[in-house]
Amino acid sequence: MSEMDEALVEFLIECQENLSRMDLELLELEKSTDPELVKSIFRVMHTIKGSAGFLGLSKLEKLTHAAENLLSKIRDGSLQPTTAITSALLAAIDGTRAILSSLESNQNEGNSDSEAIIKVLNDCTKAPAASVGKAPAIVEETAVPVASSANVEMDEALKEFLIECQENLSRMDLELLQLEKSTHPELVKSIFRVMHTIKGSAGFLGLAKLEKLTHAAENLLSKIRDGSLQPTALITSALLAAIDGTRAILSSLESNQNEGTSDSEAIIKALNDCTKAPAVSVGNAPAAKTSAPEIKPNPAPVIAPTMVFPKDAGNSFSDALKPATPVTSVMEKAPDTVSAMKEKIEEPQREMASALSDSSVRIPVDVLDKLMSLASELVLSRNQLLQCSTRLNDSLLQVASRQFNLVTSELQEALMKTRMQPISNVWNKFPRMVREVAFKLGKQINLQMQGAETELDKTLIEAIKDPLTHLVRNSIDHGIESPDGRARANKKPEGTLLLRAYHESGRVNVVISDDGKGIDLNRVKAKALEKQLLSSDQLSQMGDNSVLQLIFLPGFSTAEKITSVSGRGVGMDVVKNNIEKIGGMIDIQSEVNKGTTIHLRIPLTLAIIKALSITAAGQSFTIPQTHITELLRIKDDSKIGGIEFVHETPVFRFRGKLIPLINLAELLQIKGKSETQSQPNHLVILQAEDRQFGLLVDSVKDTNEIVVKPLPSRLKGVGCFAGVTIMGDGLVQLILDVSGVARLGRVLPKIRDLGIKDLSAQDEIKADNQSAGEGLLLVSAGGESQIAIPLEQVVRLEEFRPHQLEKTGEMHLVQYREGIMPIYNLGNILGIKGSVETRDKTKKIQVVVHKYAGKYVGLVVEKILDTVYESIKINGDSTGQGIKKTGVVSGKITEFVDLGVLLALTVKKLEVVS
Amino acid sequence: MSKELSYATFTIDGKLFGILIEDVQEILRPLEVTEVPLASLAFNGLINLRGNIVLAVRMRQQLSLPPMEAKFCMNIILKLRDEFYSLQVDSVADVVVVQKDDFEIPPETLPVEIRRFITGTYKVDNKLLHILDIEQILEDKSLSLKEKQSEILV
Repeated sequence: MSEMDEALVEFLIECQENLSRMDLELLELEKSTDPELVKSIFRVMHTIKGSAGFLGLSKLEKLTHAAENLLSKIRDGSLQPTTAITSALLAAIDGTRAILSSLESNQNEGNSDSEAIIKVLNDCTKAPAASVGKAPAIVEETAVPVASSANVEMDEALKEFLIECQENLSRMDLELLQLEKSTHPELVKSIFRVMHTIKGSAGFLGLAKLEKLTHAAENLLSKIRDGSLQPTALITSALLAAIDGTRAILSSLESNQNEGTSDSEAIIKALNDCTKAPAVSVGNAPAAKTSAPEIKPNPAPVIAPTMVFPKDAGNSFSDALKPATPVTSVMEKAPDTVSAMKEKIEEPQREMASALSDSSVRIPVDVLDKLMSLASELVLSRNQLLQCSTRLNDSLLQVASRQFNLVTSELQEALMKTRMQPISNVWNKFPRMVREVAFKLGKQINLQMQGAETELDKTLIEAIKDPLTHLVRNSIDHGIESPDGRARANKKPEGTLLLRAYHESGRVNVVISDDGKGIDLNRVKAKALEKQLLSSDQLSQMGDNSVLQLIFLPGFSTAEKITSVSGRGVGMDVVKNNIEKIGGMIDIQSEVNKGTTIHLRIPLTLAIIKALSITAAGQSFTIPQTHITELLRIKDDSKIGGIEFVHETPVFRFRGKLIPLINLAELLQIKGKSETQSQPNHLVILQAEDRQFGLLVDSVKDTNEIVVKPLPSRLKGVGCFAGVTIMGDGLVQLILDVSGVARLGRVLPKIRDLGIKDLSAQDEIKADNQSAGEGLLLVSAGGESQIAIPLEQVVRLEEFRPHQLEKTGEMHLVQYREGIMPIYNLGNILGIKGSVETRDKTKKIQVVVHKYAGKYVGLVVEKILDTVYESIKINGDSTGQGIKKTGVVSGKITEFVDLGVLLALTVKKLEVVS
Repeated sequence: MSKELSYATFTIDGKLFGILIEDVQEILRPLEVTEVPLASLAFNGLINLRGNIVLAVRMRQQLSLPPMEAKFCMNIILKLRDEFYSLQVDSVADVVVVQKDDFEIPPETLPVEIRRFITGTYKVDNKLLHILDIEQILEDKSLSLKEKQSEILV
C-alpha cells in the first residue's frame, strides 16, 4: 500500500467533518432529545459504520456498530440519553478518531484498544431494559413527522446530505461507466458504498421513495459485488437510470423540500428485473453481456450525456443474443422502461445542475495563497498604471485605468473573503471540552457562545486556537467555582462562561468572560512577593490594573495547586505572546467574586495591513499602523526641541511622561550613507507591547495598504524586520518589527517587565522561567564586550553600598544572609582593562550572587544589562580562562562565562596568594 | 556512454563558475536592490521579481573576493526551498556542455574560501570551470550572522 487509496482518503476527510459535528450534537442531546438530533447522530454513525465495512476496516466497524446499536435504542425511545450514555458515545467518537488517525498515518487501524469502549457501549445498550417503561413520552415525540419541521427551513442535515449526494452521484456516473469495462472489485465496492450511504441517509431522513429506489439499486450492486452477476450494459443503464432518478428526487428535495412526483417505480422495476434475471444465466455469464443491443439506438443522450458505449459492443451483443432467452425477455422490456424513465427524468435533470453543490467547492489553501499573491501583483501593476496614466494625461487611458483600479480592488477583496472562516471553527470544540473539564472538576458550567459566525482569516483562526483554548480552560479551572463555593457566594450553582466575538473598527474582538470568583489582587501581590518578582515597595506603588497585568509574567500562576487541567506550564505569558505575535492585543479585567473578562483584539487578516512609510538616512521603511500612536514633528532648532539626555540616552518629554527615543538610522547603522545629512526631525510614537517609545526618523511619507510578504528566512536573524512588502514603484520595502526595534534599541528588555524598572537587576531570576533556549544573564564588566552568565548559575542579584564592603587582606567581604560572602570583581578576574573600581563611594555596587562549593560568592559587575532566553550562536574560540566561548547574543559579541570554572581558577589563585 | 551535463557559466573575479542549467530560474541584468540594514555583508539586499522577494547574494563577498560595484552585477536567479535567491556575479558566460565523467575534484591550489563552495571542476577550453554548491553557499551558517554589526562592535 504505497499510496493511500482515494476512497480511503475521502472517507477520512468525510469522517473528520462528521465527527466534529457529532461532538456538538451529542452534547446537545444531553439537553434535548429532539428526534431530529438523534436521527442525525444515528445517521452519521451509520454512515461511518457502513463505509468502514466496505473499506474492510473491521475494528472501526465493530466500534461504530456498538455505538449505532446504542443510538438506535435512543432513537426508538427505548433509552433515555443520560450522562453515562453521552460519555460512552463521546468515547466511541474518540475511539473512532484514534483509528482514523492511525489509518491516516500508518494505513492500518492501529492497536488502540476499542474493546473497552465497545463494552461500555454495550452495557449502556443493555442496561435500560428495565427503564423502557419510563420512556413513553419520548416515543411520542419521536413519532412527530419529519416533514413538519422541514417545511420551515431546509434542515441542515438535509442540506448537507444533498451536497454530499451531488458529489457522490457525479463520481458514481463515471465509475459506473468504468464498470462496463472492468469489474475491478474495488470499483464495485466504491459504487456500492456510495449507494449504500445514500440509502442509509435517505432512511434516516425519512425519504421513503429515495430509500426504496436506492435500495433496489443497492441490491443489484450487491449481486455484482458477490460476483453472482456480471455488469452488463443493461445493468449499467439501469443503474445510471437509478442515479438519474436519485438526482430527480434530490433536486425536487432541494426546491420543494419533498421527494416530488417523479415516478421511480419503473426504474425500481428495471433494477429488480436485472437483479433477478441472472439467477438463470449465472452459469453462462458471458451471455449476460448480450444485454442491451437495443438500448444502443436510444442510449438516452439526455439521461447521461457522458455515457459512451464501446463501438463494437453492439455487434458482439447481437451475435450473442440468441442463446440467452430469459435475459432477452428482460432486455426487451428494459428499453421501454428506460425510455419511459428518460422522459420523466428529462425535466428535473435540466434543473439539476443546481445550486447547492455548485455553491461550494473544496480548494486547497495554497491555491488561494497563490491567487492572493497574484492579486497583490495585480495591485502593483495597477499602481504603476495609475502613475503612468496621470503622467500621460490621456483621458481614454485614464478611464480605462480607473476601471481597472476598481476591478482590482474588488478582486482583492473577494479573494480575501475566500480565506475567511467563521470563528466557530475554533469554538466548536469548546462545548465538549468545557463539558469534560467541568465534569472532571465537579463544576457546573453553562457555556454560551455569541457571534460564532464572525469571520476572520484562516491563518488567524489557527493562531488563536491555542490561546483561546488556554483561556477557556483557565476560566473553568481557576475562574468558576465549584457548586459549593458558588452557593457560599450566593450564586446559582451553575457558572456561566460566555464567549463573544464581534467585528469592531476593523478588528475582531473576542471576549471570554466568566462569573467566577475573579482574580484576587492580594493573592497576585503575595505571589509576586513570594516569587520575588517585585518588592513590596514596588507593589504598593502599582495600580490595581498594573497588578492584574502581573499574571502575564512568565511563570506566574495564582492557582494554589496544579491541576490536571491547567498549570501545565503554558502560562498567560504564552497566551499574551501568541496574541501579540499576530498583531493582537489582550486585556484583562477582573472583579473579586464577580468574575473575569478577557478581551482579545485581533486583526482581521495578516495578509494586508495598513502601514506608514517613513525614511531614515535616505532609506524607506514601513511601520505597521497598529503600533503607531502619534506622529510628531520636532522643531528645527539647533538643539532638537524636546529631546533631553539622561545618561547619554535620548528621551522625550511626551505628555508629562519621559519616553525613550531610538534613532532609527543609528540603530540600523545606516547613518551617513546619504550625502544630504538630513537631521531626523520627525518622531513616531510607537507602542511596543506595553512600552511607549519614540522613533526618530527623517521624514514621514504616506500610509498605504500593504501586502505583507514573509521575510526571507536567511534574514530572520536580524530581528528588527517583520516582513517585506512591494511598494507602488515596484521596489521592495522592509517592514519594521516594532517590538524587535524596541528590543534592539534596549527600550524593551528581553524579559517582559511591565514597566517595572530593571526587574532583572533587583530581583531574583528564576531559572525555571525558561522559554526557548538557555537563559542567560547579560552583564557588563567594563570593557567593550558583554558577558553572558547562564541563569542557572545565578542565585540572586544584589546591590550593596560601598560601605557595606569590608576588606580583609586582599579579600572583599560582605555580610550576606547571616553569613559572610566573599566578593570578587568579575572584570579583574577576566582581566578586562578599565574594570570597575569598587571604591567609588557613591555608586551602588551590582553583585551577581553565585553558589560555589556550597557557599555564596559575589561577583561585582559594572552593569546588569538584560536577561535573555536565546539559543546561542557560538562561533568564536575561547578568549581566556573561564570564558567558555564567544558568540552573538542580541546582536552583540558576547563572552560566555562558566562561573564554576572561573571561580575554581580564581579561588585557587587567591588561596595561593594569601 | 557518458552523461552530458549543461552548466550555466559566469565569471567572478576572472574565474569561471557554473551551476546546473536546471537550477537556474532566469538570468537578469542589474536590478534595483533594497538594502537590508544589519544583515550579513554577503547579502546585497532584496529584489522584487514579479512579486517574488529575491534575496541577492554578493558572490564576491561570499567567496572572500574583493568587492565590486554591485550596480553592475548580473543576477542569476535560483530557487531553493521555495525561496528565491540571486547570485550576483560579474558577468555571464555561455552554457557549457560537459561529460559527467570528466568531473574532477577541485584543485588544491584553489583558496579554501572558494574551495569549500565548490563541488568539483571541469576542464573547458584550457580553462577551469568550477561547479558551485548552491546549498553550501545559501545555507552557509555565517550568512545568518550579522557581520556588519559585529565588525563595528569589534
